[in-house]
Amino acid sequence: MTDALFAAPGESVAVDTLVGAHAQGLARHLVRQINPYARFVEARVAVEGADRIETIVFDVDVELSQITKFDIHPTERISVSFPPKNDAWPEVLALRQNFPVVPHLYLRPVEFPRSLCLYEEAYSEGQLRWTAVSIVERIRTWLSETAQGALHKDDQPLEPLFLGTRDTIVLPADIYAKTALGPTQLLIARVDRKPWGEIYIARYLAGGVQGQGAAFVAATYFCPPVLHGVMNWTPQTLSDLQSASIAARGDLVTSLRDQLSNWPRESWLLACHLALIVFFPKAREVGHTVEALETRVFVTNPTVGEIGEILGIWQLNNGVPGHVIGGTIDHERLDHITLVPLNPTFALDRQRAASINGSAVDLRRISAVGMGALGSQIANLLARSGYGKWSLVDSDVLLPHNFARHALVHSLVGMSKVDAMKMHLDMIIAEPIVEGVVFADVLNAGEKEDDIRRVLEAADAILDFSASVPVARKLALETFAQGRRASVFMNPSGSSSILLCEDAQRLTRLDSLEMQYYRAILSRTELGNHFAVVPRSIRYGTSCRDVSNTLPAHRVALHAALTSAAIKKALSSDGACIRVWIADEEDAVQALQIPPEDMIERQIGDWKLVTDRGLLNKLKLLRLTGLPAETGGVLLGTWDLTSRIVYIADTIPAPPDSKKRVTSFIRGCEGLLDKVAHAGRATSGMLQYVGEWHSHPNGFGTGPSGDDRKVFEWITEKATEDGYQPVMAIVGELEARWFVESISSQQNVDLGEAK
Amino acid sequence: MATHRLSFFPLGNADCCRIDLDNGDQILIDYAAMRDPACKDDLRIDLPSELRKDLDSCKRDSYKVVMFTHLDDDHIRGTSNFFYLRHAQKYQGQVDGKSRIKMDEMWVPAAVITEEGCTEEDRIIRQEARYRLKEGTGIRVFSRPEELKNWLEGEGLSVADRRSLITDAGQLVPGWLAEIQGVEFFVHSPFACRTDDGSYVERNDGCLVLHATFSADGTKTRVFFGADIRQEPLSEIVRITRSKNREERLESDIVKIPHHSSYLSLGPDKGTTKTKPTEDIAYFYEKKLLWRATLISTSKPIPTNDDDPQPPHRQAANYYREQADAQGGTYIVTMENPKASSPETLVIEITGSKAKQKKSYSAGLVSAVSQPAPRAGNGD
Repeated sequence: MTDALFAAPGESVAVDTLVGAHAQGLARHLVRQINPYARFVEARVAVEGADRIETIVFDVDVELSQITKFDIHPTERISVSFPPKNDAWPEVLALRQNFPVVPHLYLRPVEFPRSLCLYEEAYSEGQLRWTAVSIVERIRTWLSETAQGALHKDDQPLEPLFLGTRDTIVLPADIYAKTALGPTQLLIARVDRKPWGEIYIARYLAGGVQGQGAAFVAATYFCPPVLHGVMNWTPQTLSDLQSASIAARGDLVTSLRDQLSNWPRESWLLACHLALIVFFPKAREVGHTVEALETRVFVTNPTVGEIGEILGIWQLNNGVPGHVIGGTIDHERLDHITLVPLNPTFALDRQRAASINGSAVDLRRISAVGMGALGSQIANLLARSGYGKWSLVDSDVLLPHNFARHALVHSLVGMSKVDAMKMHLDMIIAEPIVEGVVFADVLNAGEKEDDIRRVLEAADAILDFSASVPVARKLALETFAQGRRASVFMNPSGSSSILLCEDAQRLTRLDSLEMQYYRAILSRTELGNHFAVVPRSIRYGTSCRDVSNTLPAHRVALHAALTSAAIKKALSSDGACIRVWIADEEDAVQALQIPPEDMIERQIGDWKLVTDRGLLNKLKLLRLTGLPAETGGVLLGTWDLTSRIVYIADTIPAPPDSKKRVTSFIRGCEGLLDKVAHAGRATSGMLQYVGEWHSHPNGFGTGPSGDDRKVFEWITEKATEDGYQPVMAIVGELEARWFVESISSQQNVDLGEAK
Repeated sequence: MATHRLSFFPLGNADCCRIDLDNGDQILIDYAAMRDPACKDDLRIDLPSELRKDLDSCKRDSYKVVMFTHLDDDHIRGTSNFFYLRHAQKYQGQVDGKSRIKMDEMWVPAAVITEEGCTEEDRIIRQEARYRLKEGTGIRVFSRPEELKNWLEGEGLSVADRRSLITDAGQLVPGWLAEIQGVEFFVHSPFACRTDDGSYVERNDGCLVLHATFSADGTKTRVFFGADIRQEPLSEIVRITRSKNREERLESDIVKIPHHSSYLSLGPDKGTTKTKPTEDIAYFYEKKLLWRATLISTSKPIPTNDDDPQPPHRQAANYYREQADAQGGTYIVTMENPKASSPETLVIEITGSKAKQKKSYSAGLVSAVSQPAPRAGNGD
């Protein structure tokens, strides 16, 4: 090698005097010439106080194409210095004096020799598999890929321009826009001291603050585009920073002078220190478009007043700025403006929270009803991505037992869930996401009725986390609100979670989706035990959505995670959905999609009949299969006596002892009682017998015959005994005719195209 | 990113280079199964196994082209034991339970057809080449077409009948274009010289010398395959090529050094420390080598003395090394790569950044699982 070299640290020593295991291992590996592409040169030791730093110097052969992007040579001399405590990656130096500036160099107090940044992972992670021998190959690969310009992969973000400062400052997310409006005062506070540097938090200050040195004022500078990875040093003074800006064909100092000239010359402002925020747009290669913006913050030791003087803006007389005519920048003294470089990081706003979550900002208004264990955890997860503008409705206060599964913590005991959740959700990112809360029960709001009405009216989506069927039904039917409804709840054993979400146009309402979900429970084997209650559990509610008391928190978290993702997905598409997640004993989860059917709703007399296309198709198919004879069966569903709605969810087809003739149908009863009872059990009592249906042959229409009238009378007798209304359907070739309450109170539903 | 690959196998003083083109085509330049299976310390690679390993991994049983630059033993040894030969059933059955490898096309200099007095492996190759030329398929012969006139007439054929299968020096091999196949071949030798009276003189030592131009992502990489060409014809090649103003056909990113670094491919005298090349050859190595060029000596390690009259010659090696250094390049000896105690196949990758010698080193454990473990047992 004929290239001029730098000396490696320390003094040359014999290999057998090395004490560090890694240094020894590397030296022995090289001396034995096992790797044909690496040759030992010498071992060196430097003693710094109590520390003994051992260095191995060697030559490596680099796999090199004839055409290279950076001037790496076929053979490079390298030194590897091992930290005495084996607590960090060794320092790897390229000793060739004209080793080029390349990406992935470490910043050192001196520029040469250049220090190679070989590893992306932290030493604490990497050391488990790291051997002294492997570093030789890592260096060779590093050099080879660097030469090719391939080390920095095309999909990798551009690396920082300046390295080296370990201190971090958290800036307000909108600082750039703010500073454009004039001097922006910041209060910069040190919040913590970490082994790896200081953390400062910058907050806006409104108006002047008295007292010396308390505050900073922000100025910004937008540098012309800079090629990434070519500025591997840290500016220490304004003069250094000016050089960097001039290298990029900018002029920071003049820009700063212009800004300061326009600021009011008030004493509080002159006493502030400057927080100089510099934006460096970065391009991957010359001529490429700018693809990243690097921001650096430099806090000045001198005050704004002193800086203004050096920049020739004013002259201070006892701290009072006097006007200078034709003042010029005192370039000699730019060196006096010493800088404390800080790594800025921006407060997490919605934009970034969303992008870190891999989603887009979504500002839809969400009304969430129910901030229990599941609701609180879902809201907590959605807030992490800055999703939605929320209003919360709940009538509970936090009681000790809540904290076993709730998103919140015991120190908030006694607080209302809505207030506590607002506080929590508003603190997750750097901007509030909750717009309002209503501490009230949807079913019994009392004087809060209007408040609830207001938040529901404003909502783009109404999310029901109440675990209450009546609440879900009430929300489904509230006509004043336009927003899409969705309901998330768990089954009693806590093994499954369910998401029901209306379509964007609300053509199929939440209550219809609920009925379809019950029908699925009866038909899908995966849902056979959906409402089974774990024997040892203590049920303390009476609703089918009441979660057993012994449910572990991780199950709630698991289902909150699954459903929070699904809510986002459901709300971002137009269709309705019915989804069920079933966790088994091992917490393996099976996800079911139950295809939603279009809701069919008919006002029949005083009553509303709610069913869906799925049920009608089922009846239609049974009729077709029975032809030329008539057939029929019983209807399963439920009543909402308050809203005067009868829901038809499913049918049990003709029992085996039924008499099916071309002109008549007598529904048998063999095994029927068991089947109805089973339907009730399987749906936790949600589905019950509500009436009868039978078919008419082709060409006979759906008008009730004399016999049909008698059947209806019979149903009426039975139904009224229980306080319900009679329901009957006649299914013909083209339509199904529904009778509710009386035989004259009827509505047709078109059967549509065969599916 | 297009990648072509050249593999030079460590075979002692013998040649075999495999070209793997980015489009999947494979070309072999010479074949010499030199390793002596009886000798455990033979560091030369087991060529047939090595080639089969590669063919198996890409599920092939043929090469697009197999060139025989000339019929010396160190360029053809074992050919009849590896390849499927069309001219005789004897060479079509299995070898050690494995199918023979087919040559879609065979490229030979005219001497392979016309030479008399062959007796062994060279005779078998001659028969195969003659058979293919007679059939008119699967062959390309390199010479002035008239050179083959007598032989063709003896077979009842005319030059016109076979002209499409014959390529003269100074031409590109038909059907190969750098922009399309990724490589084109310019023929330097065999060539004929016009004498003063206008007639042609054939050079009997006209082995097949090609200048290959590879193209990858628009970048060209030039490789000179020097076979065993001696200094006189090589000098003549340089002169002719320059006189025809085809300087770019002398430029090299890679040179397969002729005749295992024999001084006789540089100049008439060995020299004491360094061989002095002829003026034309000096032009070739001192003016036409490109930046970071690779000079490849397919040979035994370079000796430190002159005891062995056979190549490689240290004086020639010194010259080559000096020229490589001058271009920031390397002079590589196949039996010394990466080290003389364990030579490995020299692999050169050609991409849009031109040539790159692969320098992969497999550490202990990788090499442990790529070979059988020693016998383990509990005593006798």
